[in-house]
Amino acid sequence: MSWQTVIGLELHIQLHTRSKLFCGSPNAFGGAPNSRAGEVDSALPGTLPVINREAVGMAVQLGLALGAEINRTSVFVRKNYFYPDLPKNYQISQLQEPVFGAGTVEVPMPDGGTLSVRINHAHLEEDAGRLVHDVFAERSAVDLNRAGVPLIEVVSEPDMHSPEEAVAYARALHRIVRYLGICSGNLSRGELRCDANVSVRPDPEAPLGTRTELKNINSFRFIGRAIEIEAARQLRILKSGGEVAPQTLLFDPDRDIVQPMREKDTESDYRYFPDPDLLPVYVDDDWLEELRSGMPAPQDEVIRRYEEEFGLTDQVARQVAADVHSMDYFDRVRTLCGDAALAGNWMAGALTGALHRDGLELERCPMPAETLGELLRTLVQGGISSSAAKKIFESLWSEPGSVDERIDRLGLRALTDSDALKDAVEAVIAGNPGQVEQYRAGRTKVLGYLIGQVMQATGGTADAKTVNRLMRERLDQPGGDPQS
Amino acid sequence: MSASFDLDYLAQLMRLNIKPEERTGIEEKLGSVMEMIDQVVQADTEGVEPLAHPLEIHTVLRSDIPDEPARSLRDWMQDGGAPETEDGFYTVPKVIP
Repeated sequence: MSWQTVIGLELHIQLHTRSKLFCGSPNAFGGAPNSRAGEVDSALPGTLPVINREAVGMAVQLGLALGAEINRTSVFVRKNYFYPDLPKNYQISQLQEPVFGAGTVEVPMPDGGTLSVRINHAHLEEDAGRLVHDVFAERSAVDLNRAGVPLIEVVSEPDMHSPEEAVAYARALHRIVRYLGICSGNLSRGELRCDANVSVRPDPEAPLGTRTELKNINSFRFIGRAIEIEAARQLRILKSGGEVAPQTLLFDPDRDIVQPMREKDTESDYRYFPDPDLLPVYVDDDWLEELRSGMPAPQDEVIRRYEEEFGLTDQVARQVAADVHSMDYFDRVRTLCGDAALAGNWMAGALTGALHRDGLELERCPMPAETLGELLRTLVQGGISSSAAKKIFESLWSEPGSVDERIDRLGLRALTDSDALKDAVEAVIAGNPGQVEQYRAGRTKVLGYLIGQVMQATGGTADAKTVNRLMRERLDQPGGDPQS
Repeated sequence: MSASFDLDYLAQLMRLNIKPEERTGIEEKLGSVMEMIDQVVQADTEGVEPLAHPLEIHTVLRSDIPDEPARSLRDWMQDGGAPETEDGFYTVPKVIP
């Protein structure tokens, strides 16, 4: 027998709206427990949900990106179950008429090939609250800040047959939602979570085996590992003549095991019915067109254009074209400073470094694109040196302000006044007769030392190119040292 | 015809505690609801579009503008709106041991 593992994934993707799906409470990670849960999220009696237009739009854009059938009319239903993180005792979700239907994800595989994974459908729903089991010894703690955050759940067909394929698919979809700018994609914050349906069958022609569902996996590595463990467990049972029980399982990364969570509810147990509080959502032609035209060009195209048109390296181009926010930031910086390659290098270098250091995403960047653009324009025009630009960048990062003001406050304006620079050059020549003699004797390597002395004397504010030119002119002058 | 259902199972799904003396009455009422649904199911719906809502209008949508809740759940809890709270969380019996 040639056993085959069959895997389908449900990816829950938090949409990066500013407010929640059915009310205006802020959609932001963290905050004091329960401080971002308003009346609707807390299910207080008499409250009614009102749908966030942006969330629907983001979901439709994802559908367009996956070449899926967009349902012009979609319907919200109630999925009924009891759990402490679900204050209404039902989740508003979608069933028969979800936001989009069948589509495809083209998944690049590590071996260079492509795997086509079919999408069954995707539905828009609200996230539940967060349950914390380890803060108090005897009780579970409930934080409803996450309740009502918009989620799009993308349900694949069972088209994957190994942990590697499942991980590659999840990564591909992660890249797509980040690129579209509809999800920040931070897995450690639960912005993308995965349920994996796993079954095993004796050979690829056999009917599908009984499947189990691995719930709530929050890292790419764990998706692979959990599936690997579960497929092996099922294979052991089947090979010894046993039967796999339909179960919901949790992966415990610390103990590297999967364990049963609860018996799996059947669909009818959820007693789905259309939510009488909500009318169907209709996406008309104008809105669909607006959403389509608001989408970025395909990522590969953008990367190629950045390399060819702006001379960005492949690595920098990929980083800058990671998502629409980054591309927009880049466009503003390069337009202002007039040097696209410089703008790209600074974004991939200093800016990315500072964001990582502070654990921030570009959208929460304390430095507006206008400020970085202005800083780089001053650098391009020779108003500051490269090393001064780095100092000013760090200063503006921790204390926002205007570029001009900061250059002056830090005293880093470049010495472009050539008289002042010439004086500095003269002083260094006068102070280092030995090195000057060596240079004139042909040991031109000491030039670097002499230039360094000028830079030091001017506190790094001199433009290195100008100093270089002045120093050479002066040293190559016949007539030699003014003191002799 | 009388539709069959498992009252104990339904009660468990709905977290309802049904007293023995209520059983017969509930079974009768729910039975007649199920009979009616059986009748509805027999209607010929060939070529009829599914109806999600009796009104022939679509929903109103909200702009994506965040708005700090005037009173958050945290405020409600501080005013005694939850039976057990700790450090800003409300607490429930251990769900996962």
